[in-house]
Amino acid sequence: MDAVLCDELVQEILRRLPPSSAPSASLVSKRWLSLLRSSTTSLSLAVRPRLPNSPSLSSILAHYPSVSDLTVVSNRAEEEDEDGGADALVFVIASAACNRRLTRLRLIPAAQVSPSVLQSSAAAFASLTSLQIASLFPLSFRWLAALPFLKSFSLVRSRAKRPRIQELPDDDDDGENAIVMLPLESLSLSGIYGSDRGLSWLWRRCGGLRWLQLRACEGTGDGASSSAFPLCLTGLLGLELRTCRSIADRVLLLAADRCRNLASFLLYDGGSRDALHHFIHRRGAALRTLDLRLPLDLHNDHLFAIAAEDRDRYRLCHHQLASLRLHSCCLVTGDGLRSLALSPAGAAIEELALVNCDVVEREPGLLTFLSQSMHRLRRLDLSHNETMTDKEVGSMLASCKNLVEIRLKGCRTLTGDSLNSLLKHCGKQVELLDISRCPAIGNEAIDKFVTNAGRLSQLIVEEDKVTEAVRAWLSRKAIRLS
Amino acid sequence: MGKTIKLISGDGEMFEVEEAVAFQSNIIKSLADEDNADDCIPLPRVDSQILSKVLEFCRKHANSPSVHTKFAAIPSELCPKHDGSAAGASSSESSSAHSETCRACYDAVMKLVQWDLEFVKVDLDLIHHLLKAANYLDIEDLMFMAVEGAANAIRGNNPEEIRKLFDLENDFTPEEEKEILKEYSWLDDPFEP
Repeated sequence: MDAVLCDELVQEILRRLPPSSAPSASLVSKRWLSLLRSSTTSLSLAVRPRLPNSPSLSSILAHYPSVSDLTVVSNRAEEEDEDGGADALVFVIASAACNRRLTRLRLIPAAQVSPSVLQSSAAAFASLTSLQIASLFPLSFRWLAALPFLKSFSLVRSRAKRPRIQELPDDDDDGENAIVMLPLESLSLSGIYGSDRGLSWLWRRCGGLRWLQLRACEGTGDGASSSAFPLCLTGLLGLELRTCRSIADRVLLLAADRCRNLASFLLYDGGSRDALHHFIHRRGAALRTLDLRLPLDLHNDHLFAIAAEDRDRYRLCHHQLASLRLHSCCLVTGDGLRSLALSPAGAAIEELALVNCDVVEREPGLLTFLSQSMHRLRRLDLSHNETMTDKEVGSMLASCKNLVEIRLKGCRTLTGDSLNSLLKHCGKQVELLDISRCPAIGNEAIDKFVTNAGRLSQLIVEEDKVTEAVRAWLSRKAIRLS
Repeated sequence: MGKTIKLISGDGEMFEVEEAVAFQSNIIKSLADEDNADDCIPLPRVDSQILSKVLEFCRKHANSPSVHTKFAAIPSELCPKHDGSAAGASSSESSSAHSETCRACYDAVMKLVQWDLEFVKVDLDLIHHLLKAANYLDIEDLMFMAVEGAANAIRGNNPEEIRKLFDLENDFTPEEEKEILKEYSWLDDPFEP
């Protein structure tokens, strides 16, 4: 009985397995172990308190030479104060077999990494295009110049914590004649303080930036750094300010002036009424995507402003707003939304999100009005509207001719009736459905929907709400179940 | 009716099948395209028991090739409900568009999937042979299902059970096994931001 399969066939089979089967498959035989390891391209490791005899990180990495996407997670709370912990990590990864193949590296979160280690490891990370680290001390970015392919960099601090005072002098340009732009296109920084030094070097070299995200930043660096900050705004296509109350207004005003190509804007938890007005007035007409979570700051008059037909601008460019996402905006009423829906800006909308916006529940009939006016609506997100009824949803769906995606996560009062309405009106074209955390929607209604919705390619629902037969059908059609 | 192809298994048995059935194998298709004097295609590496199983699969899939690999559906000309009255175009895009809206085709594909899942619920020895035959004959859908059958045998089983099914020897020492398990304490669930 010749039962030996060639390597490619075994790898085909191993590739079909879920991650939970990997430990068992590894222990079958040495050959299977080696085939499994050599075909792994994406790896996620957790740093935990180690028993004395456990293998080291470098011996683990030695077994996975093909990894191009590596994530190392550390949950240890005391990491932040530990000197050298994350540096050692970087060094080990830089010496690993896969180092030159790595395109994406994330260290989440880990102790502070020092710029000098990054500088000396840069040569090993020849292919790195994306890097995420949790903390950098001292705050210096010069090592970025040593990573010639790095397009995306994230500094995502896990906790906002007062940094130690830097004794080192600031990174100024000191006689450098030409400033060479970094290849960075995407940058995310969190936890920047107004007293931070070292940022002017960075801002001056981010002229090629296309996307900028600032999270929980109290400042954009100290005086010198802050005056260089506007230099990175010119080429931006996308800007996100998440919970940056102290700088939101300043950035809004700068962006209104400088971000001539801005197509996508996100603002959560910050920004005054007037600054927002000014920004919308200057940049609103060219925006494609607008995402706002402003419980206390978004008013109807902002929506009127988005809707307003600025005659000069309209002649130059059609209203482009394709996606409007509002979260928890409780000061907005039906008037604002209706006037937006009726305007040329509103008519272009293809994606609408009203997440946890109680206007949806306060004003029955509003959703139907919106769907009747927004003829191009394809993607709809009504998550977390906890008292929204089947009737409301049903009568809205009757007018949704082009709906392709719908999210109803956490809409606790919806039942199978809503799925039936969805099937009736939009069953032929729906591709994505999210009904997680909807306890009142039963398994039968889900089965019926899935087997009849011909174009469904992604279903987001709890695993235990899907029967076996339907699960088999889903995996045939490569429908993602999450 | 349709043109038939004659196949000869490794142990000398002759199978005569329609083109639509046999041509799901890219190898058979390309061999038949060449001028064969006696229009008999020899398949020395597949014996009759396996070949008859393969042909059983192909017969079932004759009307819906590439269901698994291309997620293409039943061509509208073969739809049980429409009987060739569907508007002309036989390109694969319009076929898949057709069955996405045609309930009859949709049901038929669903039934086929169920049949396939049963087809591969066989002992692994047969799966092995099917895998090798599908590989050798280059039949995409059969390969897909045979791999699925093998993967099913692994999912949820411990190493010893897997070894029994695949008729493999354990070449690890107990110390080596312990080392590997220790390594798995490093692996984390993929981080989902």
